[in-house]
Amino acid sequence: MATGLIRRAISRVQVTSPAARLLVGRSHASDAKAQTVESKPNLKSFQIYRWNPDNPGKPELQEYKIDLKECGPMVLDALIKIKNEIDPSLTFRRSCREGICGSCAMNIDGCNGLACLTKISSDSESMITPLPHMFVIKDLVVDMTNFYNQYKSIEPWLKRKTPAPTPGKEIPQSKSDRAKLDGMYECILCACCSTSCPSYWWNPESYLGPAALLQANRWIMDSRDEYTQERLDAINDEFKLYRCHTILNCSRACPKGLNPGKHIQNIKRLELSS
Amino acid sequence: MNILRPLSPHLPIYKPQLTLTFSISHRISGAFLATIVFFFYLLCLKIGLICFTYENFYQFFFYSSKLILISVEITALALSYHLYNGVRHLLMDFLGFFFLRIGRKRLK
Repeated sequence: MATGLIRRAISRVQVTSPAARLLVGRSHASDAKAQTVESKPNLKSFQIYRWNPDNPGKPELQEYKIDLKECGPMVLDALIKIKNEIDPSLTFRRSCREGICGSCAMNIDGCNGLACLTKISSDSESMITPLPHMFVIKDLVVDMTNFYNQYKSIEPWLKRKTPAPTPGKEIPQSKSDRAKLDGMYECILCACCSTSCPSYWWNPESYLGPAALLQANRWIMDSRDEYTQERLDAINDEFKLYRCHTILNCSRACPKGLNPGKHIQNIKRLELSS
Repeated sequence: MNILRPLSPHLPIYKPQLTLTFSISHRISGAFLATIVFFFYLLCLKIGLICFTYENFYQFFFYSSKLILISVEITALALSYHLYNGVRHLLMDFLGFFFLRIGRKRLK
Protein backbone atom coordinates (compact mmCIF):
# COMPACT_ATOMS: atom_id res chain seq x y z
CA MET A 1 0.00 0.00 0.00
CA ALA A 2 2.91 2.34 0.68
CA THR A 3 4.36 1.74 -2.76
CA GLY A 4 0.94 2.50 -4.25
CA LEU A 5 0.88 5.81 -2.38
CA ILE A 6 4.36 6.72 -3.58
CA ARG A 7 3.40 5.88 -7.15
CA ARG A 8 0.32 8.06 -6.91
CA ALA A 9 2.32 10.92 -5.36
CA ILE A 10 4.86 10.75 -8.17
CA SER A 11 2.18 10.75 -10.86
CA ARG A 12 0.44 13.68 -9.19
CA VAL A 13 3.68 15.69 -9.02
CA GLN A 14 4.35 15.06 -12.71
CA VAL A 15 0.95 16.36 -13.80
CA THR A 16 1.31 19.98 -12.66
CA SER A 17 1.36 22.18 -15.81
CA PRO A 18 -1.06 21.62 -18.72
CA ALA A 19 1.86 21.09 -21.11
CA ALA A 20 3.34 18.51 -18.84
CA ARG A 21 -0.08 16.86 -18.63
CA LEU A 22 -0.11 16.40 -22.44
CA LEU A 23 3.36 14.94 -22.37
CA VAL A 24 2.81 12.48 -19.57
CA GLY A 25 -0.66 11.53 -20.82
CA ARG A 26 0.44 8.17 -22.13
CA SER A 27 2.61 7.25 -19.21
CA HIS A 28 -0.23 8.28 -16.91
CA ALA A 29 -2.57 5.81 -18.60
CA SER A 30 -0.20 2.93 -18.08
CA ASP A 31 0.26 4.13 -14.53
CA ALA A 32 -3.53 4.01 -14.01
CA LYS A 33 -3.65 0.38 -15.08
CA ALA A 34 -0.88 -0.46 -12.69
CA GLN A 35 -2.77 1.38 -9.89
CA THR A 36 -6.03 -0.58 -10.26
CA VAL A 37 -4.12 -3.84 -9.98
CA GLU A 38 -2.40 -2.64 -6.84
CA SER A 39 -5.36 -1.27 -4.82
CA LYS A 40 -6.21 -4.31 -2.74
CA PRO A 41 -9.20 -3.99 -0.44
CA ASN A 42 -8.13 -3.26 3.12
CA LEU A 43 -10.22 -5.86 4.93
CA LYS A 44 -10.97 -5.63 8.62
CA SER A 45 -13.09 -8.14 10.46
CA PHE A 46 -15.64 -7.05 13.02
CA GLN A 47 -16.81 -9.53 15.63
CA ILE A 48 -20.27 -8.32 16.58
CA TYR A 49 -22.44 -9.64 19.43
CA ARG A 50 -25.66 -11.13 18.10
CA TRP A 51 -28.74 -12.37 19.94
CA ASN A 52 -32.21 -12.70 18.50
CA PRO A 53 -35.22 -12.76 20.86
CA ASP A 54 -37.39 -14.34 18.15
CA ASN A 55 -34.99 -17.24 17.88
CA PRO A 56 -33.42 -17.34 21.32
CA GLY A 57 -30.33 -19.42 21.84
CA LYS A 58 -26.92 -18.51 23.15
CA PRO A 59 -25.63 -15.08 22.15
CA GLU A 60 -22.78 -15.32 19.68
CA LEU A 61 -20.09 -13.21 18.07
CA GLN A 62 -20.64 -13.03 14.33
CA GLU A 63 -17.81 -11.99 12.06
CA TYR A 64 -18.18 -9.49 9.23
CA LYS A 65 -15.42 -8.36 6.87
CA ILE A 66 -15.44 -4.79 5.69
CA ASP A 67 -13.24 -3.02 3.14
CA LEU A 68 -12.03 0.02 5.03
CA LYS A 69 -11.31 1.87 1.78
CA GLU A 70 -15.01 1.98 0.99
CA CYS A 71 -16.18 2.84 4.46
CA GLY A 72 -16.32 5.99 6.57
CA PRO A 73 -13.84 6.40 9.42
CA MET A 74 -16.16 5.80 12.36
CA VAL A 75 -17.44 2.52 13.77
CA LEU A 76 -21.01 3.65 13.11
CA ASP A 77 -20.17 3.93 9.40
CA ALA A 78 -18.97 0.32 9.47
CA LEU A 79 -22.13 -0.84 11.26
CA ILE A 80 -24.40 0.95 8.78
CA LYS A 81 -22.39 -0.49 5.88
CA ILE A 82 -22.78 -3.99 7.31
CA LYS A 83 -26.50 -3.45 7.75
CA ASN A 84 -26.90 -2.05 4.23
CA GLU A 85 -24.77 -4.49 2.30
CA ILE A 86 -24.19 -7.69 4.25
CA ASP A 87 -26.73 -8.37 6.99
CA PRO A 88 -29.89 -6.23 7.33
CA SER A 89 -30.88 -7.98 10.54
CA LEU A 90 -28.07 -6.34 12.56
CA THR A 91 -29.84 -4.19 15.13
CA PHE A 92 -28.38 -1.14 16.88
CA ARG A 93 -29.51 2.26 18.07
CA ARG A 94 -28.33 5.37 16.27
CA SER A 95 -29.63 8.85 15.53
CA CYS A 96 -27.49 11.95 15.16
CA ARG A 97 -24.20 10.40 13.91
CA GLU A 98 -22.34 13.28 15.51
CA GLY A 99 -21.95 12.39 19.18
CA ILE A 100 -24.72 14.48 20.72
CA CYS A 101 -27.70 12.15 21.09
CA GLY A 102 -26.01 9.27 22.91
CA SER A 103 -27.99 6.52 21.15
CA CYS A 104 -25.07 4.59 19.67
CA ALA A 105 -23.31 3.90 22.97
CA MET A 106 -21.71 0.46 22.90
CA ASN A 107 -18.58 -1.38 23.89
CA ILE A 108 -15.94 -1.20 21.14
CA ASP A 109 -12.73 -3.23 21.60
CA GLY A 110 -13.37 -3.47 25.33
CA CYS A 111 -14.00 0.24 25.99
CA ASN A 112 -17.35 1.95 26.20
CA GLY A 113 -17.88 4.76 23.74
CA LEU A 114 -20.13 6.25 21.08
CA ALA A 115 -19.93 4.40 17.77
CA CYS A 116 -20.25 7.65 15.84
CA LEU A 117 -17.26 9.18 17.60
CA THR A 118 -14.96 6.15 17.80
CA LYS A 119 -12.60 5.83 14.86
CA ILE A 120 -12.16 2.34 13.43
CA SER A 121 -8.82 1.16 14.72
CA SER A 122 -6.25 -0.13 12.25
CA ASP A 123 -6.01 -3.58 13.89
CA SER A 124 -7.17 -6.46 11.76
CA GLU A 125 -9.98 -7.37 14.19
CA SER A 126 -12.44 -5.41 16.30
CA MET A 127 -14.97 -6.64 18.80
CA ILE A 128 -18.27 -4.81 19.26
CA THR A 129 -20.50 -5.80 22.14
CA PRO A 130 -23.40 -3.98 23.80
CA LEU A 131 -23.00 -1.90 26.95
CA PRO A 132 -21.72 -4.22 29.70
CA HIS A 133 -23.95 -5.85 32.31
CA MET A 134 -27.24 -4.68 30.83
CA PHE A 135 -30.11 -6.86 29.65
CA VAL A 136 -29.99 -7.29 25.89
CA ILE A 137 -33.18 -6.67 23.92
CA LYS A 138 -31.66 -7.59 20.56
CA ASP A 139 -28.10 -7.62 19.18
CA LEU A 140 -26.53 -4.34 20.34
CA VAL A 141 -29.70 -2.81 21.84
CA VAL A 142 -29.90 -2.92 25.64
CA ASP A 143 -32.66 -2.23 28.13
CA MET A 144 -32.13 1.27 29.52
CA THR A 145 -35.27 1.55 31.69
CA ASN A 146 -33.36 1.05 34.96
CA PHE A 147 -30.86 3.72 33.95
CA TYR A 148 -33.59 6.23 33.07
CA ASN A 149 -35.51 5.48 36.26
CA GLN A 150 -32.42 6.21 38.31
CA TYR A 151 -32.04 9.51 36.47
CA LYS A 152 -35.68 10.34 37.18
CA SER A 153 -35.27 9.46 40.85
CA ILE A 154 -32.84 12.33 41.49
CA GLU A 155 -35.54 14.81 40.32
CA PRO A 156 -33.58 16.56 37.57
CA TRP A 157 -35.60 19.79 37.47
CA LEU A 158 -35.39 23.18 39.15
CA LYS A 159 -37.08 23.24 42.53
CA ARG A 160 -37.65 26.46 44.44
CA LYS A 161 -39.29 27.37 47.70
CA THR A 162 -39.54 31.12 47.01
CA PRO A 163 -40.96 32.53 43.79
CA ALA A 164 -38.66 34.10 41.19
CA PRO A 165 -37.34 37.62 42.00
CA THR A 166 -39.12 39.15 39.02
CA PRO A 167 -42.24 37.05 38.36
CA GLY A 168 -42.63 35.75 34.82
CA LYS A 169 -38.96 36.40 33.98
CA GLU A 170 -35.91 34.15 34.20
CA ILE A 171 -34.08 33.75 37.50
CA PRO A 172 -30.82 35.67 37.15
CA GLN A 173 -27.58 33.78 37.60
CA SER A 174 -24.11 35.27 37.67
CA LYS A 175 -21.45 34.11 35.21
CA SER A 176 -19.40 32.51 37.96
CA ASP A 177 -22.44 30.54 39.18
CA ARG A 178 -23.12 29.43 35.63
CA ALA A 179 -19.50 28.38 35.25
CA LYS A 180 -20.02 25.94 38.13
CA LEU A 181 -22.31 23.93 35.86
CA ASP A 182 -19.65 23.48 33.16
CA GLY A 183 -18.59 19.87 32.90
CA MET A 184 -22.01 18.64 34.04
CA TYR A 185 -24.61 20.11 31.71
CA GLU A 186 -22.92 18.58 28.64
CA CYS A 187 -23.89 15.07 29.76
CA ILE A 188 -25.90 13.34 27.01
CA LEU A 189 -27.01 10.39 29.18
CA CYS A 190 -25.42 7.84 26.88
CA ALA A 191 -24.78 5.48 29.86
CA CYS A 192 -21.16 4.80 28.85
CA CYS A 193 -19.92 5.79 32.31
CA SER A 194 -22.46 3.92 34.39
CA THR A 195 -22.02 0.71 32.43
CA SER A 196 -18.25 0.92 32.73
CA CYS A 197 -18.37 1.05 36.54
CA PRO A 198 -17.78 -2.37 38.14
CA SER A 199 -19.63 -1.18 41.23
CA TYR A 200 -22.66 -0.47 39.04
CA TRP A 201 -22.33 -3.96 37.52
CA TRP A 202 -22.60 -5.63 40.90
CA ASN A 203 -25.37 -3.35 42.27
CA PRO A 204 -27.31 -1.98 39.29
CA GLU A 205 -30.58 -1.45 41.10
CA SER A 206 -29.38 0.07 44.35
CA TYR A 207 -26.36 2.11 43.24
CA LEU A 208 -27.33 5.18 41.20
CA GLY A 209 -24.30 5.08 38.92
CA PRO A 210 -21.98 7.88 37.78
CA ALA A 211 -24.40 9.39 35.23
CA ALA A 212 -27.26 9.91 37.70
CA LEU A 213 -24.84 11.15 40.37
CA LEU A 214 -23.27 13.60 37.92
CA GLN A 215 -26.70 15.00 37.17
CA ALA A 216 -27.52 15.07 40.91
CA ASN A 217 -24.42 17.21 41.38
CA ARG A 218 -25.53 19.42 38.50
CA TRP A 219 -28.72 20.24 40.39
CA ILE A 220 -26.99 20.51 43.75
CA MET A 221 -24.50 23.03 42.33
CA ASP A 222 -27.15 25.07 40.52
CA SER A 223 -27.44 28.37 42.33
CA ARG A 224 -31.06 28.83 41.25
CA ASP A 225 -32.16 25.60 42.94
CA GLU A 226 -33.24 25.96 46.57
CA TYR A 227 -33.66 22.33 47.58
CA THR A 228 -29.91 21.66 47.91
CA GLN A 229 -30.06 20.16 51.40
CA GLU A 230 -32.99 17.90 50.53
CA ARG A 231 -31.19 16.70 47.41
CA LEU A 232 -28.07 15.90 49.44
CA ASP A 233 -30.13 14.04 52.03
CA ALA A 234 -31.96 12.03 49.39
CA ILE A 235 -28.80 10.41 48.07
CA ASN A 236 -26.95 10.24 51.40
CA ASP A 237 -27.43 6.49 51.45
CA GLU A 238 -25.14 3.52 51.89
CA PHE A 239 -26.05 2.22 48.45
CA LYS A 240 -27.12 5.17 46.35
CA LEU A 241 -23.93 7.15 46.71
CA TYR A 242 -21.39 5.21 48.70
CA ARG A 243 -21.10 2.22 46.44
CA CYS A 244 -18.70 4.50 44.57
CA HIS A 245 -15.20 3.36 45.48
CA THR A 246 -13.46 5.87 43.17
CA ILE A 247 -12.60 3.21 40.67
CA LEU A 248 -12.72 6.06 38.12
CA ASN A 249 -13.56 3.87 35.14
CA CYS A 250 -16.39 6.32 34.44
CA SER A 251 -14.10 9.27 33.71
CA ARG A 252 -11.98 7.07 31.51
CA ALA A 253 -15.03 5.95 29.48
CA CYS A 254 -16.91 9.23 28.97
CA PRO A 255 -17.03 9.95 25.22
CA LYS A 256 -17.68 13.66 25.82
CA GLY A 257 -14.63 14.07 28.05
CA LEU A 258 -16.61 14.70 31.24
CA ASN A 259 -15.36 13.71 34.67
CA PRO A 260 -18.11 12.03 36.73
CA GLY A 261 -15.62 10.88 39.36
CA LYS A 262 -14.69 14.43 40.25
CA HIS A 263 -18.33 15.46 40.64
CA ILE A 264 -19.20 12.43 42.76
CA GLN A 265 -16.26 13.43 44.96
CA ASN A 266 -17.80 16.89 45.19
CA ILE A 267 -21.08 15.38 46.43
CA LYS A 268 -19.22 13.31 49.05
CA ARG A 269 -17.39 16.42 50.21
CA LEU A 270 -20.65 18.34 50.52
CA GLU A 271 -22.23 15.46 52.43
CA LEU A 272 -19.36 15.59 54.92
CA SER A 273 -19.93 19.23 55.68
CA SER A 274 -23.73 19.14 55.82
CA MET B 1 -43.15 -12.41 26.62
CA ASN B 2 -41.46 -15.01 28.71
CA ILE B 3 -38.03 -15.00 27.07
CA LEU B 4 -35.16 -14.55 29.50
CA ARG B 5 -32.96 -11.80 28.17
CA PRO B 6 -29.22 -12.42 28.35
CA LEU B 7 -26.92 -10.11 30.26
CA SER B 8 -24.35 -8.40 28.05
CA PRO B 9 -20.76 -9.50 28.75
CA HIS B 10 -18.87 -7.38 31.26
CA LEU B 11 -15.80 -8.84 32.90
CA PRO B 12 -14.72 -11.12 30.05
CA ILE B 13 -14.70 -8.40 27.43
CA TYR B 14 -13.91 -5.16 29.24
CA LYS B 15 -10.43 -3.92 28.45
CA PRO B 16 -8.26 -3.90 31.56
CA GLN B 17 -7.60 -0.26 32.29
CA LEU B 18 -5.24 1.45 34.66
CA THR B 19 -8.09 2.87 36.75
CA LEU B 20 -9.81 -0.37 37.52
CA THR B 21 -6.52 -2.29 37.86
CA PHE B 22 -5.44 0.06 40.64
CA SER B 23 -8.75 -0.31 42.39
CA ILE B 24 -9.04 -4.09 42.33
CA SER B 25 -5.37 -4.54 43.29
CA HIS B 26 -5.99 -2.29 46.27
CA ARG B 27 -8.87 -4.49 47.33
CA ILE B 28 -7.01 -7.77 46.76
CA SER B 29 -3.86 -6.59 48.55
CA GLY B 30 -6.01 -5.38 51.43
CA ALA B 31 -7.76 -8.74 51.71
CA PHE B 32 -4.42 -10.57 51.49
CA LEU B 33 -2.87 -8.45 54.23
CA ALA B 34 -5.93 -8.96 56.41
CA THR B 35 -5.61 -12.76 56.15
CA ILE B 36 -1.88 -12.58 56.86
CA VAL B 37 -2.47 -10.49 59.97
CA PHE B 38 -5.28 -12.81 61.07
CA PHE B 39 -3.20 -15.96 60.76
CA PHE B 40 -0.24 -14.30 62.43
CA TYR B 41 -2.51 -13.34 65.32
CA LEU B 42 -3.97 -16.84 65.60
CA LEU B 43 -0.68 -18.65 65.26
CA CYS B 44 1.80 -16.63 67.22
CA LEU B 45 -0.21 -14.70 69.74
CA LYS B 46 -3.10 -16.98 70.59
CA ILE B 47 -1.52 -20.41 70.45
CA GLY B 48 1.66 -19.22 72.05
CA LEU B 49 4.44 -21.38 73.33
CA ILE B 50 2.37 -24.57 73.65
CA CYS B 51 2.66 -25.06 69.88
CA PHE B 52 6.29 -26.05 70.21
CA THR B 53 5.28 -29.27 72.01
CA TYR B 54 3.28 -30.61 69.07
CA GLU B 55 5.05 -32.78 66.52
CA ASN B 56 2.71 -31.81 63.68
CA PHE B 57 3.68 -28.20 64.15
CA TYR B 58 7.30 -29.02 63.31
CA GLN B 59 6.28 -31.02 60.22
CA PHE B 60 4.15 -28.13 58.96
CA PHE B 61 6.81 -25.59 59.80
CA PHE B 62 9.51 -27.51 57.95
CA TYR B 63 7.33 -27.86 54.86
CA SER B 64 6.39 -24.24 54.79
CA SER B 65 9.82 -22.90 55.72
CA LYS B 66 10.74 -23.04 52.05
CA LEU B 67 7.73 -20.93 51.24
CA ILE B 68 8.32 -18.35 53.95
CA LEU B 69 10.80 -16.25 51.99
CA ILE B 70 8.57 -15.90 48.93
CA SER B 71 5.48 -15.24 51.03
CA VAL B 72 7.34 -12.52 52.93
CA GLU B 73 8.28 -10.91 49.61
CA ILE B 74 4.69 -11.06 48.40
CA THR B 75 3.41 -9.66 51.68
CA ALA B 76 5.88 -6.79 51.49
CA LEU B 77 4.75 -6.06 47.93
CA ALA B 78 1.10 -6.13 48.95
CA LEU B 79 1.76 -3.90 51.94
CA SER B 80 3.71 -1.28 50.00
CA TYR B 81 1.20 -1.23 47.15
CA HIS B 82 -1.75 -0.96 49.52
CA LEU B 83 -0.02 1.82 51.44
CA TYR B 84 0.84 3.89 48.38
CA ASN B 85 -2.58 3.42 46.84
CA GLY B 86 -4.21 4.31 50.15
CA VAL B 87 -2.22 7.53 50.29
CA ARG B 88 -3.25 8.27 46.70
CA HIS B 89 -6.90 7.73 47.62
CA LEU B 90 -6.67 10.04 50.60
CA LEU B 91 -4.92 12.72 48.54
CA MET B 92 -7.57 12.45 45.85
CA ASP B 93 -10.38 12.71 48.36
CA PHE B 94 -9.11 15.78 50.13
CA LEU B 95 -6.85 17.61 47.71
CA GLY B 96 -8.69 17.31 44.41
CA PHE B 97 -8.06 15.18 41.41
CA PHE B 98 -4.34 15.34 40.70
CA PHE B 99 -4.05 11.77 39.58
CA LEU B 100 -7.02 11.61 37.31
CA ARG B 101 -5.11 12.46 34.15
CA ILE B 102 -3.63 9.00 33.85
CA GLY B 103 -5.04 7.40 30.75
CA ARG B 104 -7.50 10.10 29.83
CA LYS B 105 -7.68 11.48 26.32
CA ARG B 106 -9.92 14.51 26.55
CA LEU B 107 -10.05 16.37 29.80
CA LYS B 108 -12.76 18.54 31.23
